[in-house]
Amino acid sequence: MVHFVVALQAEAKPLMDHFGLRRRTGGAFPVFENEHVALIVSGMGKVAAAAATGYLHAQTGNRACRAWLNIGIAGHGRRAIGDGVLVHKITDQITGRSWYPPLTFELPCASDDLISVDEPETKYRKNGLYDMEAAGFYATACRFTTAELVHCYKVVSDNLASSTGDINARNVRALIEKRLDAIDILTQTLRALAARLAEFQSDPRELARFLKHWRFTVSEQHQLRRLLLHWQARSAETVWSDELAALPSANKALRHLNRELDALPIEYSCT
Amino acid sequence: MIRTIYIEREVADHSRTRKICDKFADAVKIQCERYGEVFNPKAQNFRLQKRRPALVLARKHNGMVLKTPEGYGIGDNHNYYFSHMLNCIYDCRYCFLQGMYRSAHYVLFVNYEDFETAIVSKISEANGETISFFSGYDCDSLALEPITGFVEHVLPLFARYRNAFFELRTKSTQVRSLLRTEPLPNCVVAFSFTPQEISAALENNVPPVAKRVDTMVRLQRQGWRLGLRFDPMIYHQDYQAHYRRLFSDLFQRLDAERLHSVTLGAFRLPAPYHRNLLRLYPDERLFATTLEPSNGMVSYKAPIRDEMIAFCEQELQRYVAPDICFSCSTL
Ligand code: SF4
Repeated sequence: MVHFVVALQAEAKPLMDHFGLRRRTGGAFPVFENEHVALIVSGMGKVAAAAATGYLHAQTGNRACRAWLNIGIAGHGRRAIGDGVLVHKITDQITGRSWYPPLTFELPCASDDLISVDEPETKYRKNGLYDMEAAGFYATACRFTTAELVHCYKVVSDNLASSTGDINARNVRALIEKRLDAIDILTQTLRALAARLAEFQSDPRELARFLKHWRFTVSEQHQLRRLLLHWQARSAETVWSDELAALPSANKALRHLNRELDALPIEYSCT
Repeated sequence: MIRTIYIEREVADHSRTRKICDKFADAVKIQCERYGEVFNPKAQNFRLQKRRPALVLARKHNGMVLKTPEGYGIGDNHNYYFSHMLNCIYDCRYCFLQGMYRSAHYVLFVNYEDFETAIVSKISEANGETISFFSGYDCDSLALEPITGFVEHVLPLFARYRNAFFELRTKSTQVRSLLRTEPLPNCVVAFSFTPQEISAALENNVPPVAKRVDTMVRLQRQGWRLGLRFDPMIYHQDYQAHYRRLFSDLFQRLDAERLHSVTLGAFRLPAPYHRNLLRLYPDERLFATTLEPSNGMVSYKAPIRDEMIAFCEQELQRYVAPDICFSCSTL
């Protein structure tokens, strides 16, 4: 699943339409979702973005293998209005702290630095994007998952030639709409990465069957998980057998598993 | 190959930084204050990053030359290592770097001159006694040599100090800088091997055994002193047949009498790194076996370890003198 955090309703609207998201009822922030995407409208500023990120994490079940994408408009001194940019460095202007989202995939667009400010920036003193949310979003989302799955994508809405005063809901919607292709690619890429991570961290195939058959203490469950992972890494066959199923206790089943593993040769061959 | 380069502000104008950046003109260049900002954050996944690691160009401020961990050297009193790089372009599943670092990015320290100063200072402190330096502890010594030029840079130093022994440890075939240089009697190029079956399964992106043997032959012909490192040795059903064939293949091509040293060591990892690796690679066969903790390390059970070492030592005796054979054990 990919979580979108956006500041404005106008940024959210094209995404809701494109991904077919439906509103969840109630709650402190508006949340929209389908099977693969959840979107929250945070309101403006770092604190709001951080709060909304935490809220969405709690609302969608506290799972680690989720990707996070902050989408929104940003200013840039030199880039053209409408440019879509992936952020490769985020700096909180107030604290001076920087974060570097790891770029582990083929980029669907240009990438750039971003400075998160508390007040709209009109002078664009540094060469980079300016927004008001990314630092709050990124620092919070990285508490919930690994940094490779957390990114910010910005569409340039203002520059030295066209000031923040010209921004309105209609042109914000249009700017995001024009970049839906890149957002789509990013979303798919992040979903695939998240799925890969989930695969590394998934339970071993036969765990549920064992847990249904016997009662394991918590420490026995850890042992069982480890042994089944070992089995899975070393054999494509099932470890389940009539002999195993007939064992009267969890403890005996674990001992059986240990014996089976000891008897399994470790093989490497050139194929 | 490198699509992202992080550059510490302090080295942004360094000539090596500029040269490397020119080689990767299309890479995204990102400035950082300290490499730790990119390399050290907690929320990183080594396995995901290994899909597309970035290069980080940085300056090393201290700890340039460090004492080797116990069991790393081969007999001398003064054993040191230095790492001009952190991480490796290869991806060996048993590599402790994956458990040690959170990031898979390659960090290159471009201030080679400061490494030289630190090496010379250790040589002076040794008062004429033999002192050994090992490169390739936190990386492969030669794999990125065409880009870094580090080895080419430090060889003249070791040419000046003949009481300083220098070992490069590698699985690479990137030896052009060595072939361009007059061989140094106090420098050993040590190649690490596992049997091809293990290499194919566990040493991703590493050149095949046969290519590495070709490289060794070229170096030996030119007069370079070579070492063989069978460390880590990987236990498996057919290990005897596989190691026997590996030894036979190697010694058919190499002049055993001109070898500097051969070392053996069973697969082992510091316990915390092993825990990290289990989390990263729960699906890996290498870790899906009973490994035993001992003295803060994790390795095969003692009988397996001893049997493997004894077997390989015995096999090696067919080819090399026992006085150049060493077993590494930190358990
Ligand atoms: S070659 Fe050496 S440093 Fe590189 S991944 Fe393999 S074991 Fe690690």
